Amino acid sequence: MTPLLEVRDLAVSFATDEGMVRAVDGVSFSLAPGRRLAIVGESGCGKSVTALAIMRLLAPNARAEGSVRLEGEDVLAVPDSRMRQLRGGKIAMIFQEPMTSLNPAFTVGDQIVEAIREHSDASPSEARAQAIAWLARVRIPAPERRFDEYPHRLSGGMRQRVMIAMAMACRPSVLIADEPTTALDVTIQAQILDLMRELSEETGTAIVLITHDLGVVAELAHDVLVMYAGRVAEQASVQTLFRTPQHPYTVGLMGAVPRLDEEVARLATIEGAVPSPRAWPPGCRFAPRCPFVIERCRTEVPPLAEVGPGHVAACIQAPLDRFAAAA
Amino acid sequence: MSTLAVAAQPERIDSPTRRSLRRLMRHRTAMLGLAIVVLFVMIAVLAPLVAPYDPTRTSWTAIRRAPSALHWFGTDENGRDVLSRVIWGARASLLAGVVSVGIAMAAGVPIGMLAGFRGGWIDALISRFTDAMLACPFLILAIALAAFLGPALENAMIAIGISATPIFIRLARGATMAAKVEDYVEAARAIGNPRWRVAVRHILPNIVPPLLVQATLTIATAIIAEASLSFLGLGQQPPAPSWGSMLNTAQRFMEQAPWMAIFPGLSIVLVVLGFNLLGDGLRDAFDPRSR
Repeated sequence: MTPLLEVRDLAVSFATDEGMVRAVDGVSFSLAPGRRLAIVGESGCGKSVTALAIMRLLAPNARAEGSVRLEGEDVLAVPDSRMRQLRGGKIAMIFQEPMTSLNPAFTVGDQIVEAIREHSDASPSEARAQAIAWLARVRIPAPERRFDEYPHRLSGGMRQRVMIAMAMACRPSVLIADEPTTALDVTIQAQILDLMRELSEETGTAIVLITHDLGVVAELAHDVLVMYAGRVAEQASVQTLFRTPQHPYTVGLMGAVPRLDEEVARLATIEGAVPSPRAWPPGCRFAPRCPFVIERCRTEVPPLAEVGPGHVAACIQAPLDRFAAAA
Repeated sequence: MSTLAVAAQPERIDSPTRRSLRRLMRHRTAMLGLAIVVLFVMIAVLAPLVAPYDPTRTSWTAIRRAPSALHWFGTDENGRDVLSRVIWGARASLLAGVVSVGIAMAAGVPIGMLAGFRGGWIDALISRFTDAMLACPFLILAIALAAFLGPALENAMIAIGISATPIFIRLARGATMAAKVEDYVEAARAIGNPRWRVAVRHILPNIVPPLLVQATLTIATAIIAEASLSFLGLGQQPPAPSWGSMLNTAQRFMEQAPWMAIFPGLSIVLVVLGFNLLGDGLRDAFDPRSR
């Protein structure tokens, strides 16, 4: 099957006072219709920048290279007018902060209607009917009444539902969700994730989920892309990645997730912090924090190598099984 | 359960504007300011009905008469009724205030939004130009422009409007820069809105409150500026009445006929106070945290 969204060697650089800084380097992945891919990593690893690059919403001082193909069309090369049709029409996005992502000056209904009318010839009354139907579909109670309400009257979870309705209203083929549940209560998080899964199953919309939360990944995604310091560290299906992580960084991330079924005195942490894009270490960028580091790691850039069926990792020591006893 | 809670609430759409208005209504001094402003607006609009005499009719038998039952505010050096002139003068003052601020906003807000939204060299150019204009004192600039354009009320309004423009450029620029990094602006672009519509539909409504506050306060400044220009003979031309030109004439008779100065002077103070109280109240109503 031809992929819906294909990203090849995406690199994003920012022009700063200290010259060009490359925040994302050589990211590649592809997404088939109806699939849900999670991009996981710490703050500053380039996951949000990747999402914005795909939407072509980067700040003017940023430059994206490589190719992003959406149903065969090169997103990075199309004219602005075509890009506006794609945004919202074929590829939509929801953001981390539902409290600030809705315009306080308009009713929620108006904002959904705007999205619908931007991408279809619906009359105002048709658009209104569609918007109310979408509000009902994202399970907002009393949608006719909510339609005329202003965002400040809604809770965070409700607003995120509205954002989802707005993003899905034009039936995009890809939905990018940038930390959609980070700002929400745990109970609401689960509801929003369920909703997203249902909508993607019903409509066939593929989802790119940006998150730092492995719990969210396990709930929603089919495939996972782990990013570290602007590069892909590891990519696999959810089951494979959780069962046999092959990059020391992924292993560290798993150790940092609290579990109920194991008695652990202290949660594992990964020592140190993500290096700055201004001063990436040569060789493997995880080397300064890696517990399995060897001398070659500090000089050689590890290629993404296949370590199993559909499973790639950028570690010269992979597979890591021989460390399993030690760790 | 949540549906029950929703149903129990009154059927009322609570827009942010309406909330601010409700706060404004509870603001006592703002309401006092509003009452003063409304009073003067009514006087100006209904001038032909409420003025007891023709403001330009001279009477050689009633020159510089003190206030009396016949002439409540007295008469001036040509025997004209001061009350009628104050009433008709309100037209010139309010018109000058509103029209010049209208000019300043019509020019300043789009330019300021352009600077704030686009940034880069466009912003640098507009900002340096604005700084240069702001370096000249407001009134001096207005006087110079009015003198250049020639003495007439219309020219005074244009001159005051141009002088007040940089204030609005700067304010609109700052507010736009603050609004354009909001998530909802990015969200608006993510659903495919073109830039101009993001600016007009998503940013503009959110920068209206500070602009409205500034406009109210600037009307007060513009009224003083119009009075100053008229005082200098650059605004309303005789015999049409204006508070500023009335004061100019009155200064020659300060000792013999103080009422000629007191009433137009008092009118300026009152209407400026009214606009300032209203402006302060609007600021509190739009941003309760700023108090």
